[in-house]
Amino acid sequence: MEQHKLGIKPEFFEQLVRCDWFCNCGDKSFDQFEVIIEENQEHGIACLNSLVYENASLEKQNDMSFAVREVPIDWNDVVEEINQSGYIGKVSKRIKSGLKMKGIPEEKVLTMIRWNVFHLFMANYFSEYYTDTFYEQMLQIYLSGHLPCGYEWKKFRVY
Amino acid sequence: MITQENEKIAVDCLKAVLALIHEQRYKELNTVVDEIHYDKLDEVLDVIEESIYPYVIDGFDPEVKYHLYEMGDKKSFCLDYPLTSCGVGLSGILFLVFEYTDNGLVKIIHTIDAD
Repeated sequence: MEQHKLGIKPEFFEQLVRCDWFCNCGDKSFDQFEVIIEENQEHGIACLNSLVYENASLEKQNDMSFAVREVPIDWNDVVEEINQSGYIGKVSKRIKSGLKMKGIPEEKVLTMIRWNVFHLFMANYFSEYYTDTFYEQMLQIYLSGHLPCGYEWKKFRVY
Repeated sequence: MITQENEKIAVDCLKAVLALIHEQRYKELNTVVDEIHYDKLDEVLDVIEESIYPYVIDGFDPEVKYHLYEMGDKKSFCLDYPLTSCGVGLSGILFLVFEYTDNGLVKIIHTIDAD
């Protein structure tokens, strides 16, 4: 196994920094793949913070950690590396700015969005060894200026 | 003995129970089973529903695997079914018990347990 293939890809980070976060929230413009469109912000926030979405995210996180168990690097070391890299902080600034521009209450959504974005970084770190449409689609939704706010019947709910 | 006929009766009962739970018609559960052993079942289901708001517990999902097994005393068999919402697991299992009697199966909601 080639360990040098592990790590955050620079183009991934650039995409997240250049992304116009949440600019299309509230409209029906998403057409990249099949999703459930959510037009109501309040309902979208409730779905985002629901145990159902949290459980779906946890299940996918477990799938990823199980899939990369043979990769010769400790999962916790990767978590620490990403946390100390400064990537999350820089992207968080853009996220906060996007939320403010769109009038989405930061205090109700930021924790869950950060949690999901952090796992996008984890998925990118291991991307040579593990892919899942869940993370690929989540990334596409964020990059399109929407908020993935639920996961129902294997489809994202998109605000 | 869990015959095909008994399994069908059990699954039909499960579907009826889940349909009522999905519609939050908990007071009517005693119309589709003979006994409810779980004390304060309504309250437990309320707590689950509140915890997953704005979602609700799913009705029967053919993709979710249920388990059937004979009880140790051979006088009944059990069906357990993991509860889901929108196809996502909820860490709760519904246990139905079916007692063999001369007059057919007695259908019982036994408990809801954490996964």
